[in-house]
Amino acid sequence: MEGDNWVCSSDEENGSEGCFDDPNDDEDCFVEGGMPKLQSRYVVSKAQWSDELGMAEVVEKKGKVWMTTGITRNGKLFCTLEETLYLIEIGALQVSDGDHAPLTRSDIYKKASEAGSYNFKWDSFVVYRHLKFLGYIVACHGVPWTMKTINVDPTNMHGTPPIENNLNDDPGDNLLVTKMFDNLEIKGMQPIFDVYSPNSKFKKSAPGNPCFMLYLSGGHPPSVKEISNLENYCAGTPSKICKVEDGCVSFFSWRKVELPILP
Amino acid sequence: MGPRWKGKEAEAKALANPLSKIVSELKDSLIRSDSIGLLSDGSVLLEADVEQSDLLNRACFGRPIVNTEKDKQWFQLCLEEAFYMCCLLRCIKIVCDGDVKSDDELWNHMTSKRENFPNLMKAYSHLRSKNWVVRSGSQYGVDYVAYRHHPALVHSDYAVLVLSSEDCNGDGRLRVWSDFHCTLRLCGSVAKTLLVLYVNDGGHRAISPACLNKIGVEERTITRWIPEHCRENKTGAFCLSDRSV
Repeated sequence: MEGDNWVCSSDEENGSEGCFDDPNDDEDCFVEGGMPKLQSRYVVSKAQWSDELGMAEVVEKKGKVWMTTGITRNGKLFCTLEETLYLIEIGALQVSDGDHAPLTRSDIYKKASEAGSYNFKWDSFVVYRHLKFLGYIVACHGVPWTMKTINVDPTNMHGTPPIENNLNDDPGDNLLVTKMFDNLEIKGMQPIFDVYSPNSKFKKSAPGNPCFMLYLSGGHPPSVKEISNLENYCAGTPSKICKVEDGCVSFFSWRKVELPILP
Repeated sequence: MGPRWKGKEAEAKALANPLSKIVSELKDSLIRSDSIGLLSDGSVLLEADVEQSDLLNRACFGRPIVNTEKDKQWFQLCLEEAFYMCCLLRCIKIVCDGDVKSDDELWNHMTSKRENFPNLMKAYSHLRSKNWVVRSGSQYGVDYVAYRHHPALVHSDYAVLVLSSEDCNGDGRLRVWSDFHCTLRLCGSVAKTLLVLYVNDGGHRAISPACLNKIGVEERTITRWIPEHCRENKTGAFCLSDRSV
C-alpha cells in the first residue's frame, strides 16, 4: 500500500482541519470528438437589425424566449446586441438588415467587434450568455423591459410626452433608446445587469426586484471603498462582482458581516 | 457555513466553558502571580505554573515549549498575543534586558519587527475582544484563522486577511484577481470562509498603542458565487454554495 503515503496532506500533519472536495473545481474539461453543439431549434423568430439603434427590432415573435428577452417600446419589441447575439447563437433568431437581406452570425459578430458606440462589451456578453445558459433572467441594468410601468403616473400626462410616443415619430428621437444606454456610462462602479433567478412565471411588465445586480470588473479588483459605493448605489439589492478571464466568468460576493460576540 | 464542531460533545463542552470565562480566569491568575514575559526578538517567553498552563492552553494563548519539568511550563507568545496580554488585558509585564517595557516601547519594538504590526494588532484584538480564538494563519496563506472556541473542539470558521481600507492596491494582499482565485480556492478546500478585516487606519499606520482604540474595522466575507449551484434560490443571498467554494 505504498500509494497511501500520497494522501498525507499538510492538514493532516497538523491534525486539525478537515478537507472539503470542491466538485466545481475541475480542470478545463476538454472533450474528445469536437465541439459541443446545441440542439437545433424549430421555433425561430425574425428580427431586423438597425445600425442606428444598435438593436434589432423583432418582426416575427415565436417561442417562449420573449418572456424574458427584449425591451418593448411603443408596442415594438427590440433586442439589444447581447440578446441578438445570444439568440442567434442558440439558433432562435434570424436577423436581416434594413434591406431585408439576411445577416449571418459573422455579420453580427463583426458588428459586435465594432460596437463601441452601442455600449457593448464582449466580456459583458460572455457574462450574459453564461447566466442565460443556466436559465437566469438577465436585464440590462437601468433599461426597463417596458415603459408601461414607468408612464402610468397621471401627473405626467401634460408634461413631457412619454418616450415611447416619440420613437419613430421623429427620426431625431429614434436615438432616445440608445441615449438611455449612454446615460449608464457614468463614472464609478455601476452594475451592468440586473439578474433574476430562473422563473417560469417571470413577467417583463412586473419583474419585481432582481436577485442581485452585477458589476463587471475591468482591471483591478475593487477596493473596499468602491465596494461600498456599489452597495450604496444598489440600495439594498444584493450586488455581485464578476470578472471575465480567458472567456471564463467568476462571480464574487463581498458581504458586510458582523462577527458575533461569543460567550 | 455553520460551525463545524469536532464531535457531538464538543459543542456542549464549549457552551459549558465560555471562552470569556477562561480568559478572565487566566487574567486573574497571571495578575496574582505578577507574571513577567521575557521579550526575545520576535517572541515573548512566559513562565506559567500548572494552573496557568492549563488556562493558557484552554484560552489558546501561545505555544508551550516542550520540557521535562512537571510543575513549571514555559510558553512562547507571538507579538500580538504578548501585546494583547500586556497592554490590553493588563495581566503580564514584559521585560527586556532587565527593564519593564512601557506600552510605547513595546509598540516600537513590535513595529520594528513587523511593519504591518499596527493593523495586525488591531485585527487581532478586534477578534479576541469578541472572544474568538485567533491563531496564526500561515498554514493557509492568510494572516490569521479564527475559531469560535478552542481548536480542539471546533474547526476554524474563518481564514482572515488584514488589509488597510485605504491602501487596497499597495503592498497589501488581494491586489490582483489571481490573488482572489488563489486564496478562495485554498479557503474552499479547507472549508473556511475568507474574512477580510479592513482596518481603517486613515492611510497611515498607527503610531502608538493609544491609536488602536480610534481605528475602525470593517468585516467582510469574500465568497465565490457559483451560478450553477444557486438556480433554485430566489433571493440569491444565502444559498448553500454562496461561500468560499
